[in-house]
Amino acid sequence: MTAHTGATAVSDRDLRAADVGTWLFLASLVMFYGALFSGYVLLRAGSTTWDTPWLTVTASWRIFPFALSQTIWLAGVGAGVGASVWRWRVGYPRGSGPQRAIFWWLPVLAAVTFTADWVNLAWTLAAAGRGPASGVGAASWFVLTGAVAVGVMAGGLVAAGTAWRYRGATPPPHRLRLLQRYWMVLLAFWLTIVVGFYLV
Amino acid sequence: MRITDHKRLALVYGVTAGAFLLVGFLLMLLLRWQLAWPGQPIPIATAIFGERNAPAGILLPEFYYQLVAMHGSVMIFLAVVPLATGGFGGYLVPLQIGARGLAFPRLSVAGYLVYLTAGLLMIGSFALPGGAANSGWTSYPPLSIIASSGQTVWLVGVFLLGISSMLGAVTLVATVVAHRARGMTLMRLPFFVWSQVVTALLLLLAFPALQAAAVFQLMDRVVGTSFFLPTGLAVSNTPLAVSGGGNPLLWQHLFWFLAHPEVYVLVLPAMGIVAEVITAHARRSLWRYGLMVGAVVGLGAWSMVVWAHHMLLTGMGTTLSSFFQVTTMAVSVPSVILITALVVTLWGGAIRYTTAMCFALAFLPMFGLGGVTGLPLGLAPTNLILHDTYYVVGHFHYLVAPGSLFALFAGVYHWFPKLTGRRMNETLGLVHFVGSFVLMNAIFLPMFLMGLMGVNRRMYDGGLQYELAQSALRWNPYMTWSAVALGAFQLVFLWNLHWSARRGEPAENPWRATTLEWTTSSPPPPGNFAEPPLVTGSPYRYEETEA
Repeated sequence: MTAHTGATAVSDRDLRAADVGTWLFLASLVMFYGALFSGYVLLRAGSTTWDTPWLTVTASWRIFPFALSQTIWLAGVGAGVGASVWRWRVGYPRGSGPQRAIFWWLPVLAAVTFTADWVNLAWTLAAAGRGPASGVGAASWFVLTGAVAVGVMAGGLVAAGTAWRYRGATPPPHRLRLLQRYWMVLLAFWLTIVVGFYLV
Repeated sequence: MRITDHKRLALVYGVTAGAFLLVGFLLMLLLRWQLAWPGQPIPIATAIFGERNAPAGILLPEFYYQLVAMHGSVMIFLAVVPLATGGFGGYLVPLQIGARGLAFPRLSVAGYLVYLTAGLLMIGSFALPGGAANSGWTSYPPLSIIASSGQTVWLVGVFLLGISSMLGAVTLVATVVAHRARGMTLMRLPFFVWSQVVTALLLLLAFPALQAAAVFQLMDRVVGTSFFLPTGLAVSNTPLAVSGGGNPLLWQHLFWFLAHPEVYVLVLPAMGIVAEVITAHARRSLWRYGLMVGAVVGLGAWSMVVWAHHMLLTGMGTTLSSFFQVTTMAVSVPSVILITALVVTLWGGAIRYTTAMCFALAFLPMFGLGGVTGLPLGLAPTNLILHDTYYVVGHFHYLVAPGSLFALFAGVYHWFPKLTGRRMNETLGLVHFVGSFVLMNAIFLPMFLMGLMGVNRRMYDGGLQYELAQSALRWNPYMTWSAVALGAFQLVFLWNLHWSARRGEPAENPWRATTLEWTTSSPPPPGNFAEPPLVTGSPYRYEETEA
């Protein structure tokens, strides 16, 4: 048995199992997001006219700041959780209150901000008659970005739950790693959407 | 013993999947009645299914198609796969690798609860105003999008089953990677464990595609999007009020990306079970273990690049069609290697014709027949003729019914002493085997003939109004009576289970098997092993023990 600094002792076997489990879960997540994106690509490639809903509504100027700000948010969360993993690796036993606030509540804040901004934009599009039922282009945007919003919310909830459960102590390293890699997958999928929707 | 103990959880999985198996079987009996005696009333059908589904005891077409769709869905998603993975895999894999339990026991329990919820939702959808899903287990759009509300529940259920599969697969693979006993190298794993790992990886990587497709179809049904609805679609000469622009074939691609590997999810655990049974009951080590491991891994990987042979009729173009025809022919190579290796293992063995061995031996030709009849379906020219006929139903059922189910029966008879410390009654077992073997063939063999005669597989009345089908339809009553008799023989099996668990002959390791699960007491204690086992060689050492 090996124990790491903090409240929870974890065996090497459990750590290895958690590591394998994390990669398998992420592989499954990648396949899910990949299938969603493949659907979008197939539909768009097979279409002679492709509608881009955000270009025809009054709030179209918001779409690019939305894409940019959310990219920054997701990258920030990835960096924040990554810093937590780094702190564990270099042996910080406990985080101070402000540190924990940065490392743990950043994902929660990002989740709320991302989702609120997404709901706001989705509402604007729907109110302008460009809701998901208005065309396959709009539907694709709603489903793919909505899937990221759901993923971000789930990540935020897990981060909040972890912060609450291990308040005053360092969480097990496999949880930190899982969160870090999870946010990296979300960021990668988000960047794929940004390229696939806005730049191509 | 807590529910987080893998043995108890596996038993719960097994009982639940067995209950769903019974439901799927009863659905089959109902639709077989309709095929045997089209339009004839079923006694007490109205009392059970109501005037809405069976007025005056006669099944309505809408209800018949619900039975067809739900029979396939229940059997595949809720019965055979959970039985093979959650039941057999969950119980045996930790024991065979010398682990104290699963890597993530609570995650496993969560996976079971999600599976149970999905199953109850899908079965419960029969009570909805429009009934259960009725667009086949494949749920092809646009039909499935304009179908009754049961289809929405089906989609939610499938999405949940994907989550359940992911939780179970993550747990199983992590257990094998991280919790093996000392000395248990990868090439010392029992073949059954390999088959379970490949199965878990297939579920993990292929199911998300169906989940994504389910999200798209749910959006089409609930929100009014058009992912799968083309422009200008009209139903009963009335244009649908949708934006259009979607593609129904997108569903087929995403669906078969899961559903073809799903066939191997049904088959690979069966091969793992048969391999264990054959080695133990023939007193022979597995022939070319390394080659078999390579074949099962190759089969799993290759199964993910053949999906579109189910879509050869969609006009995909010759290049793509040729690619999928070639990959489909090639996927038979590892299958043949596996079957050949199992047959060669028997050579020179001291074969004991126990019930478990009889079922395992019967699996080989039954699976072989299912595989060989699949070859014409993998080639576009013959697929064109056979695709919509009963030939496909016969082919698939030979793989899954006398194929996978026979292997599962073999597994039950083989490992029953491990679960209970008692043997199952052999006389009752052989009665069960003979009855099942004869009747399974009586049900499914005529389907090949019917298919070759061109009888369509989607007809509510079995094809009564078609001249070409007339001479074939006389088989239907015999097939239905065979199905009823098959059910009766399963009662013998259930009685044997019940009786043997209490009064069966006490036995610790009646087969003198050499795999790790037999080195601990039967039934195994919590934690599985009194002392952590140390593995020093191959799991199959029958030549040594015989010498």
